[in-house]
Amino acid sequence: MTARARRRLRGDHGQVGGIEAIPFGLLVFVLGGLLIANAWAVVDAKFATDAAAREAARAYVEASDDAGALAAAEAAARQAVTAHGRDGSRAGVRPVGAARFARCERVTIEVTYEVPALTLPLVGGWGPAPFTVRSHHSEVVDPFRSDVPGEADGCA
Amino acid sequence: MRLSGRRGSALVLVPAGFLVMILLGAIAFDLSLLFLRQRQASSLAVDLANDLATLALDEDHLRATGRYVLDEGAADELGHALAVQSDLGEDLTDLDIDVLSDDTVRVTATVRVDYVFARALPGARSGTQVTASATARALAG
Repeated sequence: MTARARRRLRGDHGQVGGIEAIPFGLLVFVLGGLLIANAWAVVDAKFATDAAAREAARAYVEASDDAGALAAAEAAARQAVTAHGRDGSRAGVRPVGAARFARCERVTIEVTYEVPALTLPLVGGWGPAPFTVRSHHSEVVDPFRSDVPGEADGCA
Repeated sequence: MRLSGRRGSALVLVPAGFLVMILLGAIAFDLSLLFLRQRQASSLAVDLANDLATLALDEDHLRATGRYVLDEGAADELGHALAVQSDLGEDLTDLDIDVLSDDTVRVTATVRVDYVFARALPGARSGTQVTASATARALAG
């Protein structure tokens, strides 16, 4: 550090003109940072649940029989959530409505994941905590694949 | 004497720097939301194309001639019905379904994205649109 810089940085001359902005800026930074981190956690979980729902629906319609279809869907969803760096066992996986493993049937799988939320002073909360991030995805059991119960006739 | 000069004025830049950091964080968040919607639109287009490649088969034509031909009207109708029931149903602004050949269908989905933080900035756009396209072809066997 040069002698001139040392002289310039010594003492508290001129601070009174802006010292009040420091705690205010710090407050805004902390609150804003937490708000963005909170929102990001939800978006990140949404990435995971979206992928999980897609994989689950795909696994269901590609399963070989009715008995294993739901189990395959659940396993695929949990693996997808785990692959996104989250705890797969905390994900909720369920079919929407009565899932039927039959030709032309539309199957919708819903995946949920709970994200802890902070309640921020001044800003407040974003609703009841924790957030439940929810995604669903649908696929149709292929009308023309073999070994699937049901008729393809008039499928559309 | 204490109030004269510019000594210590660099301190004022610190909170300004904090605000810039927050602003950059907000922009990053909105762009990640955009990326999420792009992936969702892509998934929707892929799955619709995959479903329509077999669902939209013109069965009467198949029985009469033995040829696998997709019905353009059925593809359009089914595609829209499936899309509306999807996760993105409410955000879908446009859906194009083109039967490219007898066994190939292309789906192009356009989805609206509403920004979260950009809306608070004067002059910034409140949202945008993303488009994704996918093609599927039915193969025997």
